[in-house]
Amino acid sequence: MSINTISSRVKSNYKKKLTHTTLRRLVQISFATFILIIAVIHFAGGESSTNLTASAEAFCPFGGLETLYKYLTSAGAYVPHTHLSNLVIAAAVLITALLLRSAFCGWICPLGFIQDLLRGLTRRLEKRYVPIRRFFRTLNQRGQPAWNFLDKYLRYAKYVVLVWAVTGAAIYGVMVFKDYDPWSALINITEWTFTPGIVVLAVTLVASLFIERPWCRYFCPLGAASGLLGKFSPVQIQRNADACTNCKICTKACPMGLDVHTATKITSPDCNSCLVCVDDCPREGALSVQIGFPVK
Amino acid sequence: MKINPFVYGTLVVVVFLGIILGFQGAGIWSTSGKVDVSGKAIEPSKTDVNTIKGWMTLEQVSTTFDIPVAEILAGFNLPADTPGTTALKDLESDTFDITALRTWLQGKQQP
Ligand code: SF4
Ligand code: SF4
Repeated sequence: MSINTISSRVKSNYKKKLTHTTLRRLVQISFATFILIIAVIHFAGGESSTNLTASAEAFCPFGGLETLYKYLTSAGAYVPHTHLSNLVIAAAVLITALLLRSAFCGWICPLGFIQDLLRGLTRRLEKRYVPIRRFFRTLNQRGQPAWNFLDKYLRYAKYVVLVWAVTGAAIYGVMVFKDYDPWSALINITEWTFTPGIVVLAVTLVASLFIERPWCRYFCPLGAASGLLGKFSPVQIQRNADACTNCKICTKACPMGLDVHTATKITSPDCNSCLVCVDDCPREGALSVQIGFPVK
Repeated sequence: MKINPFVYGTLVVVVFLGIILGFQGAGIWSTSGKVDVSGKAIEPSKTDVNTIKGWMTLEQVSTTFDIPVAEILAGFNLPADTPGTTALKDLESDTFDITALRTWLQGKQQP
């Protein structure tokens, strides 16, 4: 084999591996590491530390949505556990959604990343071990019809959580959702206090081994808000029916369980702009990210 | 117009961090209830119950509002032997939270 052939193979393998999914993973890892460092520093410093150590809670965008009403109606006061940083990060998430769809969920959110990692792990195990593959196949065959039905209706639960969490905080002046929030349970794990959020976290983590992004699909109020605003964004994933062979690879790959292969445009508020469908599509030009008006 | 997925990913990071850095640059940023936006330490004030924060201790509240620690503990059915140095956020339970304490103190202040 000539040196030229080897070098072109290495190049094409390298190109195959270095997709935008690599960039997305790097971004997700960076944000998750940042939050981990903040949580460790805060834990090590403790509340009584003379140094100012921000808690990881101060970087939660949903805290911003929960405190917004109080901030606007009580001369800049906050509901407990929130700060100005929560409002700023909430604004960043929502403005990003307005401009670039719900990309915070697909590219930045550490809880989304943890769910991606867990399902990625079982996918790897499925590929490597036949009994695990068989188990997942049987589970799919037997449970699919019932699951499809449940999936359709459970997706609305996140809007109920959003309304409950935001109006609850506005009415009572406290974060009514905090004790049920798996993210809050995770970043406060070192406090060793039992809350329902620990159970929600455990269920989310176990479910992530079987379903992709269960928390995001069904219950996350921030994903709900960001997805709805994303509908007004000029960015869209489009499918070119002439280039598409209907192989369904995109639909199988979509972590949010959307029917990509039948759509002309992905307009669902559940799309988190992860671009896995674009990455996995084997046909050049069949799926693309488009920017432009009119917005639908 | 088609955008390259790499450009899209880069835009996501730039827009998201750009907005946060923009606010920070304008001085609109604070991650702690211990200092205000200008970095000045926040002290509890008798005239404003909203200045009570979760990191403050029972003693700080007691001194500011002239109410004995024992009375605060009794008012919320908290154990009488709770040290005055305990942070309020560490006492949060079904019967006690910062909002409830603020309301209770406001009630005490009314003639
Ligand atoms: S839906 Fe919620 S948990 Fe999922 S990625 Fe978005 S913000 Fe994170
Ligand atoms: S449709 Fe594509 S970009 Fe949207 S969530 Fe599914 S795979 Fe990700």
